[in-house]
Amino acid sequence: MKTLSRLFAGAFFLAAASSPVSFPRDHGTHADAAVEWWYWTGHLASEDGRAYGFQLTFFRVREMHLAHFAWSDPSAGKFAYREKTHLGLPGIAGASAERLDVFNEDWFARDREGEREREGVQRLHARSPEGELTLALRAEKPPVLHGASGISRKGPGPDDYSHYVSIPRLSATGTWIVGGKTRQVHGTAWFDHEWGPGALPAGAAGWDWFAVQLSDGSELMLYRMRLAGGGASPFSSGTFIPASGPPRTISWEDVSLTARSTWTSPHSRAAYPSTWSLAVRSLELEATISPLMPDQELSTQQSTGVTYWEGACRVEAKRGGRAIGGRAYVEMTGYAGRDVPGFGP
Amino acid sequence: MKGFALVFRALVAGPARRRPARVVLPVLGVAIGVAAGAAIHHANRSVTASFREAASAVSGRTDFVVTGIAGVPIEDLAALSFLWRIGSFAPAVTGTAVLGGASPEVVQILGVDWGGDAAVRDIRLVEPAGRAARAKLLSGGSVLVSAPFARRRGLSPGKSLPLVAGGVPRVATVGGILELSGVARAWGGDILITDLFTAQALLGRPGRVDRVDIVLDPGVSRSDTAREILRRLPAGLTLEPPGRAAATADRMVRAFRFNLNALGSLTLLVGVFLVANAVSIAVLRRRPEIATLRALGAGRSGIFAAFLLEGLGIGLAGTALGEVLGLFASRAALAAVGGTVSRIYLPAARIAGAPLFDAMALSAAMGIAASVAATLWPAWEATRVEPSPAMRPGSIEAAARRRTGRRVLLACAALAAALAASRAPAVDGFPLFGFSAVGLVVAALALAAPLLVRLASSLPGRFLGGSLPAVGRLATGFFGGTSGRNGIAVSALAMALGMTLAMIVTVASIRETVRVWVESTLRSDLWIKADAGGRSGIVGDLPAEILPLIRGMEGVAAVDPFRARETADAEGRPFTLAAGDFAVVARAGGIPLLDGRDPRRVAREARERGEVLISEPFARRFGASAGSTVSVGTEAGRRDFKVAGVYRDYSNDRGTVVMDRSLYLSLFADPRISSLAVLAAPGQDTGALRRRILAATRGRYALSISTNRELRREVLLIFDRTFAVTRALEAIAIAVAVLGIANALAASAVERRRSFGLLRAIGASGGQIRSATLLEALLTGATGTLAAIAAGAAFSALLLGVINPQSFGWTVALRVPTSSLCGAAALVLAASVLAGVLPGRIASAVDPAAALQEE
Amino acid sequence: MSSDPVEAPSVSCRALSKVYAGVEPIVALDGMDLDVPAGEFLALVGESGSGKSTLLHLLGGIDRPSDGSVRVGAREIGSLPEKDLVLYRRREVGMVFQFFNLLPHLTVQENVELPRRLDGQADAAAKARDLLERVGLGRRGHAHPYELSGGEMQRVAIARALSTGARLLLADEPTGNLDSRNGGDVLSLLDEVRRERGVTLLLATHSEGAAARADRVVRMQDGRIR
Repeated sequence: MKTLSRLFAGAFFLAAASSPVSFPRDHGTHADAAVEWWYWTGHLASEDGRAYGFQLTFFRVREMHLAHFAWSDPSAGKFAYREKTHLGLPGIAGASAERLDVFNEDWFARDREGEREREGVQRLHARSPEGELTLALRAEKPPVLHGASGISRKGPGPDDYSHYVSIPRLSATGTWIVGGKTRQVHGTAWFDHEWGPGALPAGAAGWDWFAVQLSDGSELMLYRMRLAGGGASPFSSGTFIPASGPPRTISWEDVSLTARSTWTSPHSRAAYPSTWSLAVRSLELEATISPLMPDQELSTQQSTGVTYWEGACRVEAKRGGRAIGGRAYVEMTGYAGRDVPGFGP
Repeated sequence: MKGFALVFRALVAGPARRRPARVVLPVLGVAIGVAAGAAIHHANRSVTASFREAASAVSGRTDFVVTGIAGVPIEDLAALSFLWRIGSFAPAVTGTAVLGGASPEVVQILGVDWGGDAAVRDIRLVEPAGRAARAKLLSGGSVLVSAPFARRRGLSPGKSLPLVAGGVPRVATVGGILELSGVARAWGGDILITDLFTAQALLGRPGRVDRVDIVLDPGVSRSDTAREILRRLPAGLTLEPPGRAAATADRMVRAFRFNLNALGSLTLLVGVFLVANAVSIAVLRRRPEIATLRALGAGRSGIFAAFLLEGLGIGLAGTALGEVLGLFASRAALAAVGGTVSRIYLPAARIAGAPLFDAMALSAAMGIAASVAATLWPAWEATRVEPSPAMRPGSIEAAARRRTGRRVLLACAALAAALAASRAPAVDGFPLFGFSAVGLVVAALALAAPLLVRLASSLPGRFLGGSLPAVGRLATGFFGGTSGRNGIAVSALAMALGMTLAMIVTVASIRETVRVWVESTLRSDLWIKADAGGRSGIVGDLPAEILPLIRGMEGVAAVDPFRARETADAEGRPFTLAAGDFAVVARAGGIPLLDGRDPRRVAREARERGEVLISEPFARRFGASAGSTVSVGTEAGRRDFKVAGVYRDYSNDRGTVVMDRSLYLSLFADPRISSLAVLAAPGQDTGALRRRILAATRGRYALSISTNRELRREVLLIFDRTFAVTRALEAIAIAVAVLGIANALAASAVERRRSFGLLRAIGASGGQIRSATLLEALLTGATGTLAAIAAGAAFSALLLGVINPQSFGWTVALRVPTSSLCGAAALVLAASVLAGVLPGRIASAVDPAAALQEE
Repeated sequence: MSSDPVEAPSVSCRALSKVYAGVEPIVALDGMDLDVPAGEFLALVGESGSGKSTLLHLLGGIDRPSDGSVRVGAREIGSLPEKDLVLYRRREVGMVFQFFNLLPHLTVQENVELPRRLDGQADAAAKARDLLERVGLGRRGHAHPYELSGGEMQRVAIARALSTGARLLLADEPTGNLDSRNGGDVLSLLDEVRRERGVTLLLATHSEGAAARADRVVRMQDGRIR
């Protein structure tokens, strides 16, 4: 579902899919996987009550390291993003193979501070001309392995898979420094880590990805792989993480997803679904997911070259008839025309 | 103003219109000087500009560059990560590759951090890469080539590009075509750009980069950051401003360029003598007119200005013509100079022509200014003409004779100053005083020339007395009688020929010294280097694993791996750090020591004690000697090494510090080899051994193997090529000087019309007059040649004893190539006599009745 | 080498013409007839441009007639081949000019020696010394012409004209550049040596006083005898 899986194709090896996942090692990099990424999204609020959304992503495509950082300020109607590209070189960009420690220039994500190890606490840092974000993320849930023992199938081919681990709810505290002014921020974040061959399944045209954090303490991850001919691939699926207890895989038959409106990007002219109606029958869940602001489109010409929409959304839902709230991050790819003819196999 | 216009017309414009031929030679002389000056200056500028252009294209927006002798270990980049808050940095791998095919050429390889490099350098594709192309680029092994390069070699994206890099034949794929902008401008686009890892793989240097370019954000303090970088940088790495690389490269060729500039100026100087000559003649010829004008009330300043204008006119005309000639000459000079630079100094350097304008403007300014300056003295002399009508013929010469004492004194003073200057040390490694001494000798020559002419003219009479034939007496009389004018011609010739003789002596001495040195140094039977596409010198290097392979071959007695890296001392003065196997030296010798000690013992001891050997140029430039210590920036920081001995070296004028390979490897993680000397086992046929090595390495390595004899020949070939331009310039200077003789004689012929008329009247035949003129030409040539021999000896002493040691640091055994010198002198004498032919014709054609009728 | 001419030549001109080419051709001599017996001192008197100098130049062999004949002794000079003409000038005729025409870079002695040395005669130096002695400049041999006075220079010129033993002496305004005292001396010297050596002397002058010393005076105007 992440952008790069469409981008950097070429099934040049098959990852050892069978090795069991263990932490903190598997928060580290997997050099045998062609494509890998670490993905944080989250909703933050400052002490004065202003709400923000952020996305910080570290990609690795073989020896290339890329990173995107996006900051949404819905109350000001501002959305800004930055990107970085480097070869994996000491001091420039890289990732540890032992633990979470990934960086690109002075952006980083790691599970320690200096030499002091603080298990379960992730440190995030990113800086752009708009501001500087420093966060400490505490996992409120253990890592979730999506699919069968952490292997998420994307399509029918042997390389159409990735290892997919999430920490669906992390409490975030930290600072957002703008123009020398420090704002204390706190909120909730979502962490995804995927690695694999990075092939785009045959016939796929793009995908929509949802990371929903509901106010009842549960989370839902959904992704829909859209086929070129229209409709969803049978490999579209999701994972539901209840407030307590083991996660459940959600099959696409269980899901109904409709776009209620569209927003046309003034930058790329792409028309994105803007408000979604989502229902998961087995969960008795009905939700409306709407963006905090319409324009959260990234056109990453300097790194991945992909144009996609990735944004903070609010959720109004009913679960078993009871009204609940929630927040989400939604990613939509394959809507900007020029981005579609990628490197499909 | 009107009055001045008339003065000018009477003294300058009118006569010039009446006898345009008179100004043809000085105009030609200035033209040749300006053309040579423009061409040489342009070639030199092009070299400097190409270095600068290449360095600035590669440096991009860099504020600082981090480098290390053997590169920067990739782990050390981590020390710079603090920079991301205040700027960015971009590592790069540089090297050379040889492209084969019908026309092998050497190109620069630049490996960069894809994506991140944009902060420093502009890498712009002609067409933005499609997504597929991007993916290909990211998969490694692809190179970007500049548009002109692609056109020249018929490349397009996706095509494979076979090349030799790091001594190994490989195939790269063209990933894209670059605009000729940004970094692609380096060396006129002869550059392959690839990702850093591919470059490392191509060059066989994993884990290292060659430079790290640092760009700071606006407003960040450069000096504070530099200090902070230095504090964090691991030992052995250096921080430099980006211009340093260009400056170093430029410094490498500075002596070479200066020689060319000096010779280029010599040509102009000779041209200036011609102008001085022509205007003096004009002044002499027009004395009656000057006197008349003065009598009519013309002021001195008007007369002065009129002749100055004549010099200006000659200068302008000569410069205009010279610029046109320069357009053609500069192309030839650029090819020759650029060829030498890339052959000898920087193999991947393509010297592109700099804009001609600057060189032309400068040489034009010099040509015009020098012409006017040359006119000052004769114009002043013109103002001394008194308005009284009856000036006796010869009285000017008499006045000149009275000045002789002063001139001789001045000449002696100039010589004394030259002697003093020759004792002065180099200024910043540059023999400023040495060249000043040359200038002073030239001045002494010019001052003493009239006296020399008179001396020379009196000699035949003194020795032959009455038995001197009338024609001879006439010739000596004429020659000595116009000692002022002939002095100028003589000194111009002496200067040009003297410099040529000195260059002949210098070049022959250096060549012979080098030949002897090569004989004693090149002991190895075979010399192996990475395939350089047929070029001399070393291009690229070889992987270390070739060493055991060759060493283990049948018929190989010993192998000496040689490694050379360019580095600089703490002040940025460049030198070469080299490593060789002292164990092999300890067995075979081959490093001739200055103090005559046995190199084998010294090498053995140096190896045991961890000491180094230094080359003679190094010793001179850095003031080091056996027993002193030299400081080398190693990967473990600056370290001092004791000097075990100083050896003769003529291969490198920067200076070399050489250490045992094991010591080198303990200091630098740089196992690669620049070249490999192979000693064959006794009785082993070297040709067969070469074939065996080539067979054993075919496909895996691309080697070029020379036998001992081939290498020696190559060394001398390089040497001769280097001096080819010099020879051309000498020839031009002499040609101009001979023109000067022709000019002086032609002027005399015209001026002596009356005398020739009288001679005809009293029974001299045309043949006798022609002979007298030819004899005078011969006398001029001979006096010039004699003076040239004296000046040449002085120039030789300065070149070999002062300038050469100061700029190259070489001790050169004097060798006087008598036959070449005699040849040059004979040629000049013959040319001088030829120069008398036309004036002789003019003289003998004088109609006596008409000439005697003239006032 | 033939030795010096034995006796003074007679001079004979017949219908002698000289025309200088140009935009407007100048007729310098216009069919002139003149006979000068051997050993005569003849004065040619006339204005500037009357043809005196031209006549002397033709007689001296430094110019050739346009028409007519000019004989010196038994020889027609006007048609002598160049080679013979050079020898004629060298051996048989001496010329003295208004502007002395000494070679400034040679000494007085050398100037006098010159014609004889051009002829390759070994006794040039001794002969020159004798002649200088004769003209009263025996002590000035080593001086350069510019160190002499005008009168002295003209005496040197006379010595030079005589040095090859010429028996025809042509003097073209020899006193034109001298004051009357020096001019008189020079004329006296010319007359003396003519007598001593048996020389035919033609003197071109516009000074009646000078002409008065001659055996005969011929007046010229517009290239003819008046």
